[in-house]
Amino acid sequence: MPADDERRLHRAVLRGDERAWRSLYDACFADLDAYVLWRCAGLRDRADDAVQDTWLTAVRRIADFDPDRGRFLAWLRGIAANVVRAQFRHRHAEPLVSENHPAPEDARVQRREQAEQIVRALICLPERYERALRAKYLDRMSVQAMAAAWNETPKAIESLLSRAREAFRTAYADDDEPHLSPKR
Amino acid sequence: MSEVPLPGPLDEFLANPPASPPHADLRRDLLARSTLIIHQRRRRRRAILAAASLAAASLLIALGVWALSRPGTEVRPTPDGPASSLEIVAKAKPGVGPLEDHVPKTPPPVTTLPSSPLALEWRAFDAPPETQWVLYREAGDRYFEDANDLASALRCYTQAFRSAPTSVLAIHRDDNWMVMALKRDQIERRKEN
Repeated sequence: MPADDERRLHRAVLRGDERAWRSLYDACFADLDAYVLWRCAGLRDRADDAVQDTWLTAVRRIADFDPDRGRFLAWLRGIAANVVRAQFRHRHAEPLVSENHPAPEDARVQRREQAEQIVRALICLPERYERALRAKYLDRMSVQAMAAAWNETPKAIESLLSRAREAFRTAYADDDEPHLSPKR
Repeated sequence: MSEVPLPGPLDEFLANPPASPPHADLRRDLLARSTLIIHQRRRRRRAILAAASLAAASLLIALGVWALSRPGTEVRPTPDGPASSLEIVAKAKPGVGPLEDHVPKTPPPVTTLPSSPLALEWRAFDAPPETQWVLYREAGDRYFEDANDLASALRCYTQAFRSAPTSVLAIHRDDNWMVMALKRDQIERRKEN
């Protein structure tokens, strides 16, 4: 959707135009859902909660969106990142395994643990590293395209990606919570 | 680009981003809930506008009342007279016959009239309906003859003839031109009604 259309729809939404809101919603829903699912490392239930909280926050704070400062989807992604961070921070202290929940025996639970570990690692990343990884691996942008979009050289983008991957690996390794160990 | 090797789960996550559709109802329900918020906001916005308009109107009325009630103001009273002469007669003499039969032979006594036409007009405004037209007529005469205030005279004469009995509307030689014109107008109005 062109930026001018977004600006016009935003003004209409502020006046209470429900059709304008629907247009913005339909234009961004799929992209936002994909982003949130990625930030939740494929955990569909967590992603659904986050998507819901993101849209409800967005509609309540729509007056805060400034079309001059960025696109609507980027604004939504910013809200979603905060929502995911808050959700996982809140649940960080809730291990899947406890006295009431026996140790996992199947691979499904183990994959879920790994996914949550990935989410926590993503949360720990600086914003620019997360943005670089997202552009490269979720949005499938080439290094040249990223360099053009961010007004950088391809060499700088490659360096940024390298540092981002290293930071991601470190954050993942540092997440040493004993989730798979029974609580004593 | 030489990439840092990543643990298996991270490599898998980056190479194959998760993709699964949201629950079927989520998109529709979320749209309905968010649209409801927009709808409520529009209603709230309208209510605020209406309240602001009402407040502004109330303020204007309050200012008008305050200006009218200021002592020594030059604002002249423009009270609305009784709705019709029939009401006056009904109040004055309830249960009696046609209008023309109940015209008072002489105007009701009015004790010591004020000297200024403005004071006289105020007294007319506060007077009971059956004597109101007499006082308005007197105030109109004062405005017309003494003060040469034609606009005020017109206002008082209009009030007087609107509530006066029909017999009073007969034109006399002594009537001034304004009185003649207003009497004629009032007679026409009553014929139409």
